[in-house]
Amino acid sequence: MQGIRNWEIQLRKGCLELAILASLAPGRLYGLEILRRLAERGLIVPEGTIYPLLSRLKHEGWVDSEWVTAEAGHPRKYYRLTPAGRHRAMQMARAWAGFAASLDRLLAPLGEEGR
Amino acid sequence: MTHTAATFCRLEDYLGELRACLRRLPAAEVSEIVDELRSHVLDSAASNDDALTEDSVRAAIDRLGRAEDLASLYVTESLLSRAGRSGSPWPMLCGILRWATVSGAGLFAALGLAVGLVISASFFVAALHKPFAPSRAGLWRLDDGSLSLRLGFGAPAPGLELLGWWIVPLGLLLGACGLWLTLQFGRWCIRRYRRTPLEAL
Repeated sequence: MQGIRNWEIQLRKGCLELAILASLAPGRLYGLEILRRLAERGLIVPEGTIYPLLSRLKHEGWVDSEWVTAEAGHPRKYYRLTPAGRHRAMQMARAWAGFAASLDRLLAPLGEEGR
Repeated sequence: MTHTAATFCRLEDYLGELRACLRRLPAAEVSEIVDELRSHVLDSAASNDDALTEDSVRAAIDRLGRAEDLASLYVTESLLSRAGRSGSPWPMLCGILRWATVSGAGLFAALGLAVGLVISASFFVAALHKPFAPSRAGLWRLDDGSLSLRLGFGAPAPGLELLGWWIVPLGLLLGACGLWLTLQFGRWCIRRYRRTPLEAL
């Protein structure tokens, strides 16, 4: 069981960048909103890890950020995709879709055995 | 919302600790990180029942993790980002040495970078030292047939000098090429092997 868990963690690590870029596709979000959006889709990310990754995505030019004073009374840092980030997310999504389709075909016999 | 002095005290203690661990980064970057995490804790602590209490703030801080670990992720990410963009060896060396402390890929990159920098520096030193130690700096074929790049220190080399004063332009050229290739190798390693901060957990 531990082996499966480790494999799953590795899989999530590899997809986190795509997941964050995809979560920003509809519009700007602040860090906690990104975490919640990922959690709604079953992707639980340790809270402390997302900010250094967002910082990297910003350095890469794939997201930019702005401070907005919220109703809560304190400012929040919102992130949005840049055109380069949207292009990158689309490229990654295409690569993922192709890979997932191939793997699904390969896994189909296993699914039938499981029924 | 109920805010008590103790509630904010705990948060500011945590952020103070984080700020201290981030001292290697530029002040503006540190302020931005601290402000963002303060905002995160306030939102996260108030998200469940809208009551900001000492316990909810403590729980939000616990979910973020230890200040030292969080700062380490930020510092590694920031130094690597600067290394990837920089055209000079110093930021590259700082970033990759930092990376080497948290990942095997970083260690591989650091070893490659060290070898490349030493070879490049050797060509520069031999070229620049030639005018001051003409009989000890340059490229020699030793008596046993092997080649030896002499940097101009120690006893004169035995054997036959091959390049003479040509070591000056060639040494500078080879040093510059070696440095460029070394920096390209460092950038390639960062692009190829850098993973998400989750790796550090």
